Amino acid sequence: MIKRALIIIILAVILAGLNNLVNPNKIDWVGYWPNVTDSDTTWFSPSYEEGDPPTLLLQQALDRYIDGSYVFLDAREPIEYQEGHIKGAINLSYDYFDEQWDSVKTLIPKDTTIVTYCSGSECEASLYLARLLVEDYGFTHVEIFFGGWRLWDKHKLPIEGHYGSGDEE
Amino acid sequence: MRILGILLLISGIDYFVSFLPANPLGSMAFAIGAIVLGAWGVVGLMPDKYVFIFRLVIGGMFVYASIDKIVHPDQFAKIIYYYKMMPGDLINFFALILPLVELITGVFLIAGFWEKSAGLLITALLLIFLVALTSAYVRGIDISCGCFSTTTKVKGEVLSYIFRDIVLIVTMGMILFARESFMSLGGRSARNA
Repeated sequence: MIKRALIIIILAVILAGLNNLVNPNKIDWVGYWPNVTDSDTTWFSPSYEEGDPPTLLLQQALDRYIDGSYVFLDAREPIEYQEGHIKGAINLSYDYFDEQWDSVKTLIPKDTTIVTYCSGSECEASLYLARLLVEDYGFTHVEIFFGGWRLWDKHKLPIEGHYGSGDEE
Repeated sequence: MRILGILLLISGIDYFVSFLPANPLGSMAFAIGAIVLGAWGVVGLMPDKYVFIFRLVIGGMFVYASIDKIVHPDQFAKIIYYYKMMPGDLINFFALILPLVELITGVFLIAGFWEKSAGLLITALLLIFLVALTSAYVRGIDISCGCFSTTTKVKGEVLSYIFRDIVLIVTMGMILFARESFMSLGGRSARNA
């Protein structure tokens, strides 16, 4: 009985191999699955108030990044964004919002969940941007990742930009 | 048999209520199957040799459950990752192998070919699922089950998943320990059992 069970498993491995050769959704046998279980505390910007959009821990932000259906908005200045940002994030600087909004809005479907971030826990651009999107632009699903660029980069998670070490492009 | 019948009956109704909006086809199939078999068991009319019906039902469930995962290993890998239980390097390997094991064991169980071995594997899988679901429930993780579909948008009650899993394990026990093997393609162990 055990021997036959093993034969079934070997058969499954062979068929899985064949499937993974022809499947358009094929994946690497060993994937990139970061683990950030260590030291992540809930951070809040000093201006954060009751009723503001919900905040995310690093692990939650990472889950959303891996899911792929969330839009990450980098609320920092364009020069900081070019230096380095969370991979796939779109720059929508709070300070340059009016200049950038027209081109950015075409990239965000209304029903998408948006994750905003800025440099780190002490910056407020992500909070202000999130409030603006909810209050003035009618987005209902907005979340704030207060850990921001610094925490993301510290954990060597996927980034893009000119920034040297840790660049996983 | 009666106890299993009652379990099946409750789980059929429970499943019907909780999952109908999310997964109409699967929930209808499981609910109707469970309710009919459950009622039969409760009345005490089902002889041992009709255990083959459970084989068809569970085998069918496993085949059905495997399809979406075989087509979308990338999505299934994400679901495994969200359970936060498996070392990162093994996630993709499992995402590729597990659905094929489900498919093969499901087909074998339906056909009654090497049914005890296939049944053993299915029971092992159900136990693994039970541990994973229970652990997710205890840790309060907000997961999508990944049971029948790889969409991450559908989230159900983890307790219901756990309950369903237990019912299936009990049923598998019946199949594995059945004295008669009816409607079976054979294989030596099946005939001698």
